[in-house]
Amino acid sequence: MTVRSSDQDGAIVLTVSGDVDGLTASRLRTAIAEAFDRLDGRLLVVDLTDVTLLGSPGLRILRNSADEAVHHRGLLPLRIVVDATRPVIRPIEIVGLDQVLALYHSVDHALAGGDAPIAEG
Amino acid sequence: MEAVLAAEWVAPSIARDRVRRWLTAHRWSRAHREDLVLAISEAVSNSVEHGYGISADDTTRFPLTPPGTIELHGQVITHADGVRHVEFTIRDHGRWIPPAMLGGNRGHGMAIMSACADKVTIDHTPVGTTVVVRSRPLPRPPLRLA
Repeated sequence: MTVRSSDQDGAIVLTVSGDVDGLTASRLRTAIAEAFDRLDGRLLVVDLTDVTLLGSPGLRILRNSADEAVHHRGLLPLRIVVDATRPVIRPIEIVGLDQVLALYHSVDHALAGGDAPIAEG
Repeated sequence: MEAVLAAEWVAPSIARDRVRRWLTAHRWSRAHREDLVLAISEAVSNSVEHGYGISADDTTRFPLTPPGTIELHGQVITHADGVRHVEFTIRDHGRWIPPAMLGGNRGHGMAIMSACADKVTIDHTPVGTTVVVRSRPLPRPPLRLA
């Protein structure tokens, strides 16, 4: 599992690849925490389209990070990119996180600003 | 299939790989297969967690004992009409920690397992936990024309 960070269009984009499970989830949490620390008012986008498994440890981190961004750090809401045909959307929908997270079909959509989350589409 | 895994954090990944290959060899449909891979990954993750104590603030893990083993067993059951289902058993020898002691957001694993299978039964004892995952039924593959 790898997390790559890049600055795009005045946002930070974290590109996650591989399996996010009990072995690897802490690395995702660390990457998100580091991004929070240097956001400086920008948007944080977490791109999961290259994730091959999203286990409950990963779901927990996404939910906690989304919560922390808004309720503890006063940041812009976290934006999560998922490809609807991949296995990532399945666990997200099972636990109802699609109603809680701001989900987008692509990084471009997430960066475009404005509200176009999948759950409202 | 049979597998005995060390109760360490790489175990779910090994289990996923074994289950995926075994179900592929049994010509399980992709969607059903991936659901089961996800369910077994969660069950094995829980077993790994049973082998660890946690600190009061849920930030530190320490092994309760030297890593034990997790036994994973899978069996295909074929019905008279050709419909099949698969039953997985995941057995560990650790200690179950009630979810209430683990802080918030801890229920996702159970929700995932329940959604990805027909029936999940969990038996906790002081010396280990046994989980049985019964898959949804799969229609028999269509007959191949000669």
